[in-house]
Amino acid sequence: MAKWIEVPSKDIRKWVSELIDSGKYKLLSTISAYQEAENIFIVYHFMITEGVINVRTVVPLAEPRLPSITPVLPAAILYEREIQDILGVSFGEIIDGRRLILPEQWPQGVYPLRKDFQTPKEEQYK
Amino acid sequence: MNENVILPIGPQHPLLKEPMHFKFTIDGERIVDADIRLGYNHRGIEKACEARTYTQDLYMIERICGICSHTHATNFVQAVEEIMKAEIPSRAKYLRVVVAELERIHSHLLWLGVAGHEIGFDTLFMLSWRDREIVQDLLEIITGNRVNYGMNTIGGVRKDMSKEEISQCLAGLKTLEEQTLYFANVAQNETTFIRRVDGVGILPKDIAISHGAVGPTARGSGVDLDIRRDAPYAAYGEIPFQVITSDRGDVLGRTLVRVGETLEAIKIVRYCLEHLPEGPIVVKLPRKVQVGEAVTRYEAPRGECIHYVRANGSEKPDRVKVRAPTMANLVSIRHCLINQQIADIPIIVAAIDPCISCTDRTAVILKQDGSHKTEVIDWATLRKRAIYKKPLK
Repeated sequence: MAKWIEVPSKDIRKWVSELIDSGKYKLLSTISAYQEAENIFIVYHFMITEGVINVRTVVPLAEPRLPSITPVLPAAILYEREIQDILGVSFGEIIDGRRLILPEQWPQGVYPLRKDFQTPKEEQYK
Repeated sequence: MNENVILPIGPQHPLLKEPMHFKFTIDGERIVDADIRLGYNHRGIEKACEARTYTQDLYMIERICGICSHTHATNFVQAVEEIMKAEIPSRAKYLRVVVAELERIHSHLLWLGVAGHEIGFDTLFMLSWRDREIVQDLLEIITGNRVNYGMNTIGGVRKDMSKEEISQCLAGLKTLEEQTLYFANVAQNETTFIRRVDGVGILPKDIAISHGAVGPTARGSGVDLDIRRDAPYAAYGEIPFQVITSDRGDVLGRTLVRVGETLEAIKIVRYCLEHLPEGPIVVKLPRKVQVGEAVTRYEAPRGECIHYVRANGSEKPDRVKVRAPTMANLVSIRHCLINQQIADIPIIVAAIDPCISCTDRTAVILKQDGSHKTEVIDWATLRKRAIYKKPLK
């Protein structure tokens, strides 16, 4: 059975680097993110030697910012870039912060997977 | 000359079967750096899932990919069943494994053909795609469809197998096994093939782990990781099978893993058909799903596929997140490409068996007047344009 734990967003990188140092790390499967009311939840799905662990952290919608784990675990890069595109969460010190899936002309500050998302109007495109 | 040349490839390029953009920095014929741009195939399926019921989502999710469609469908129903705390009949679990493993055989044979084609060994392409028809026919016998099988439903499977179908299937597997043994022999002994892929696109084991490689790409670099064994789902906990790995780390290693896995898959299907439990194939479940969340993993032909589903108590999910195996394998591909030759790009890219449809999932298109402005169109217009083709100026 999968284990679920909560980690404060500011400690997430420390938690991941401790996991890697302990030798239990096997695979970062993916990072999921979803919005609930005024918060964005981010879930890191890991495979470790003892099984499966899901680590949840939360950032406020008003200031969606948390440290990137890419400096300690490069595997996270595409997942963090995807969340940056679709939910507008910014990852501090991300090793590569460019857009991943949204086109270049996509308006700034419009995030498709937020609950208040409206299809952008034509004049919003660059 | 110190200046390096940048070679853009894609999104539309004869080398690629699906839209993806590569930017290679090259020094002569040698690749110095590689960069990837995704999103050309993004269809917004995760967002679309939030607007549809669970049953509608199931059929849409199945269409994420035409090759590993059973992967996504099974993964999604498993997540929904986990939230509902439903236990499905064991016959249904076995039938899911049968289709899953036949899908793996079809995907790996398809890959072998593509790999053969990319290195100019088109005989291998012709032969493996010819024999792939056997497994396609078996899938049609079992599910009624060659692709997008529509086998799963929330609570079990939709179609049972008769005794006659089982014997047809076992006969097909026999031919398939003979042919796969022949391909295994080609991959292990054919000089033309070995000398073309030996030492090409090396992915060291430590990079494979730190960059999160999955599936045959990881196992071809000696990473012993298989979701079917490490986190069993469906009936895999009861089925004996071996996890194939190779320490080579090059394209040849990945080929050997895939050929070995095809043989294992044939054994798994045979075991399932011979040990198929009696009983019902489906349990009836309510349309509304209670509040909850679930993460499910599945060993797709290309590696670990993961779905995260959140339910809010209504008929529609709150969030569906899909991570297809190619997404995980694209992180490490840069390391496979650096210091290789330009001529090796096709086979190295093909060696992870990329599936861009799976990886990319808003309809934003260029305006019809050919200007660089984009427009957002609704479903009805998209359909209309698909039917009445109007040439772009």
